[in-house]
Amino acid sequence: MTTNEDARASIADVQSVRRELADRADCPPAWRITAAVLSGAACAAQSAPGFIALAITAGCFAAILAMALIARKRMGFFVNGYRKGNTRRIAITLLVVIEAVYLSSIWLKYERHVVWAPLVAGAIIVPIVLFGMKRWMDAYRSEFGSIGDIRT
Amino acid sequence: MKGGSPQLDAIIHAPVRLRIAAMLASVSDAEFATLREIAGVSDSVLSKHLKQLEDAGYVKLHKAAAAGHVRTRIALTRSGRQAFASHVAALQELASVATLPVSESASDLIASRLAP
Repeated sequence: MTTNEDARASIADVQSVRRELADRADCPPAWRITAAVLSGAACAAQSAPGFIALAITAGCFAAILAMALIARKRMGFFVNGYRKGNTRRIAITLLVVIEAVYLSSIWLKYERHVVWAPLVAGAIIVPIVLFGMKRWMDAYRSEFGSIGDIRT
Repeated sequence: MKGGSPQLDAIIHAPVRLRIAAMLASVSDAEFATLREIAGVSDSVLSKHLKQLEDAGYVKLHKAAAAGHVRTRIALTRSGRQAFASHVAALQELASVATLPVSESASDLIASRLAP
């Protein structure tokens, strides 16, 4: 029969699983830097002529996808970036900011003929993605610290 | 959780299945080998518990052939996530019962919270 002590032991067990996950979910800085540089490169590529820009962008996205697949295999689990919780707010904010910078650079290039705008935007995107990924990881891992934060 | 008081879930209550559910509730899906390591059980024991969770509609198994062998990925279903969240909430309620008046004992709570 379940007693208060059993319930506490079960909760402690759930917490230990979540802590173990937090340890395994660590994303090395090199991975974050690579993902950020690829994101910035995808934007900066828009400075190049049409077909070259398309090829570089496709290459960057293919590389990001490959990184996600390798990370999934390495960790043994997959986490949706837009999962419920504080992480969703961070992911959506990051997406909106990146899109705003990206679209602004495209507008500047085609409407104001500032051909180098995507290059600058790409350079701006790199630290934004780095910061956003770090915040996302911190939020994800902090959720494991509290049993009261079970996300469904 | 579907409104009302949180319910202990008889399927999730077993320690190994609780660990499995705790792991799956925090991720989108996990590989069989990773679950086995975290649950700390053998392949056959994990398979048995996953079958019980699958029969209850709490997990979904996806098998895919890769590099000559089959990889199994397991994900918690929506009802599995709800059952786990409700179970943990019921556990928290039970764990805090020591601070409640004597008349509201743990066994009273268990009787009223244990899902059919």
